Amino acid sequence: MQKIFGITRKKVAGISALSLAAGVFIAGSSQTNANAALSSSPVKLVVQFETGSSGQVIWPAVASAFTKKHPNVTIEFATVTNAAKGGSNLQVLIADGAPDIGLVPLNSSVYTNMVAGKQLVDLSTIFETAKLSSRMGPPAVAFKQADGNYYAVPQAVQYYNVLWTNPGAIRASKAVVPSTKKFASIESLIALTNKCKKAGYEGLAIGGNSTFQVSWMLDAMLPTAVSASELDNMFKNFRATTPLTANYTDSGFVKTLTALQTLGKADIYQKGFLGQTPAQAQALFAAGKSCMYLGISGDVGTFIKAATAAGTMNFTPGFATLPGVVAGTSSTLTPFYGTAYGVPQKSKNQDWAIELLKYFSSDEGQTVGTIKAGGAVPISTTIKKANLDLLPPLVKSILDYVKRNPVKSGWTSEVPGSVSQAVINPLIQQMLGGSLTPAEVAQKQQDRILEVRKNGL
Amino acid sequence: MNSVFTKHADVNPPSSRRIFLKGNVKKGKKIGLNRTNARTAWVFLTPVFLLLFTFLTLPAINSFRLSVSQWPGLGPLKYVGADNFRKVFSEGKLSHSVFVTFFYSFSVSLLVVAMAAIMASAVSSGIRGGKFMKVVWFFPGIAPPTAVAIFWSTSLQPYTGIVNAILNTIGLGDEFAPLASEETAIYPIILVSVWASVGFAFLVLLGATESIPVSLREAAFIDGANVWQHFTKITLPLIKPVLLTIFTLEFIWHVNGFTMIWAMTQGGPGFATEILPIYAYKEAFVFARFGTAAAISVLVGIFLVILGALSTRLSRSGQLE
Repeated sequence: MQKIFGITRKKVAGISALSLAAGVFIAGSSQTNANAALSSSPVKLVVQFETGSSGQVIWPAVASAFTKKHPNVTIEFATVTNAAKGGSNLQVLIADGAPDIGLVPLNSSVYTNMVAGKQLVDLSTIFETAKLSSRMGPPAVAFKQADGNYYAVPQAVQYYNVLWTNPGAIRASKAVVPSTKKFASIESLIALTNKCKKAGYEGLAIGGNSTFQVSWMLDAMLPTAVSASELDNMFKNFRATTPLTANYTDSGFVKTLTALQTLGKADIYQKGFLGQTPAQAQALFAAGKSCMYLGISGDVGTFIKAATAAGTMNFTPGFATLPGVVAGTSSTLTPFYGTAYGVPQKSKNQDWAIELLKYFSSDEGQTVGTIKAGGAVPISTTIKKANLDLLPPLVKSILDYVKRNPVKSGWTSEVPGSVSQAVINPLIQQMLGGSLTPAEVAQKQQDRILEVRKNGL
Repeated sequence: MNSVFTKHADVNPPSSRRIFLKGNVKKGKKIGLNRTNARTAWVFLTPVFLLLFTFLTLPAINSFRLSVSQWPGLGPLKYVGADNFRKVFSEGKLSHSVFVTFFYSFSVSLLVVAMAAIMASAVSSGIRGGKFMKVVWFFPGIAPPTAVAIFWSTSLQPYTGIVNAILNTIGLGDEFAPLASEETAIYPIILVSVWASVGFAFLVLLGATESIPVSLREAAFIDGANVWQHFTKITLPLIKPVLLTIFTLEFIWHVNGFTMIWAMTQGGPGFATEILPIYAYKEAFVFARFGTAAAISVLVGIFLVILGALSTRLSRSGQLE
């Protein structure tokens, strides 16, 4: 009888069969254990989302579909305000009573600190086993951390810097939005708002007293004034490990700030905009009193839907994009995947929380929640066309535009807020108020970057 | 308390069974309390001390510990000595924030005390509708500060705000937007804070005004004092200790004020209305620098303790006069 390493073929076959059986048993056991974690005993999950955001309509829809599949699960909601989500929410998410799924905006110190402090549960299983990574495509790279793990799942793709337009007001002002939806120059945007003002409308409504909205315009216009490599360096150079090859005092950044100052001096915004919240600016636009409003694609499922339903908005808006810094260039919409959710280490139902996030980010979950309930662009690129057709026409038109005009990420979307938005936003407000020059704003931003490179976040 | 202790001391058994507590009526004078009463006193005082320890001393100790540490909001504290204080003083934002805080707090406190004193004096002198005014003037103080802030920030919006609507009817236009300018944003906040705070001060000062003996008022009027002289020579001097206390309280409350300004401007435009608590809040919850936030809080705390002590001394000397 032929022997292998001195063991008969029959014995080898026997050992192999036993090994196989043992393997199957072990695999079966681990499967059983995994399922045991998702037992049928009653479970209560607490999910946190931002008040007044699309999460408020998306999550209840997802929860309803999920609990139908898993009747032993009940889902409750906790809310967090826009002001708290990137700051004080950290204390909520690391406390003993933390929600099972928490809002962790990717560009916030909450996310950065929780990842650094290992306070979030690894969600690699969603990105790898459930193939979210391949379904999302390149944007998924931003979610992978230095340790190779994933800690947050995005809700939707929001396109920022959508200039919502009021066709009736623009027509009445005898102005025209370019058919390409791109303003050729800063001057052409100024000319349109001047016509609007002459006709009794406000130009561009914006929530100037918020901690974010004036810096959105910087996000949109900066890529037109700096090279791709400079922009890429600006995304990363807050880390001391990245060589500082693009300074904020360089001409591209200063030119962008100067363009914002020019727009401010030309009075394109509504009267008193630095004292108004985004909600007040939205109300002005919805009431038909301004020609434009600076918003995001997600507005379709939130304020536009609500104002239309309430009868306070009786027109269907169009949209355009901001001009580039240099005449002849045009800005792009800026995609943001950063409204994301993680599972805090303090969650008492981590397995079920991961299961819910897995469903939330699945093509089915995205269709139920993000598309149908939220009217927002899903994160997955593999969703069936028939389901994408369920998106509101306005959102579909934005998606069509994006297909023809590739988008570029915004600086404040990519860089942690404590280095970017929280620093630059009040400085731009000061510049628009006339107390700082573009060069001074740029210098202060540069100082902050140098400080963070030296001392860390 | 002193009078109670003194009363007991008068009727108490021999001094050998007494416990002596240091009184503060006269330096060095001791007030006696027998053992049973002392025990009872401690039984009643212990919960208060426990509450004070839990909600005042412990947080104060923790704030100080945090102020000499680096902490991003989670994980262990890293001792950094006086670095946070050095940073706060060197960054240059502190002086601006201190100025805004003091300008805001001083203006509000002064206006509140002045208006409350006038209103209290008017009601106390038997002005028509006094009872109605007592209720009406206190109403703004009951409303939640966030609601008050939202109401007024909406009212001050150009074109749509009620303030502009009123201004427009009297021919002043409807484009008044004080919250949108760095130069003017603090003033509406001061006025709204006065509006919301004057009710409480009014009620306290009314109590003080009404405790002035009627004989004094009558004597003053018989001597030919007019209303203004009566107010400045009789009412104000007699309610001075209460005025000082109310001024100090209002000042402390507004130095620590957060809600009104946060809800109206979030410290903006730029940094125009960024008072110390907002500066500390942003350091902690926007920049995740809890150490520097605690350092700011400790500095404010020390200042307020000194202010409180000074005010108490002044108030006491006012009372003795």
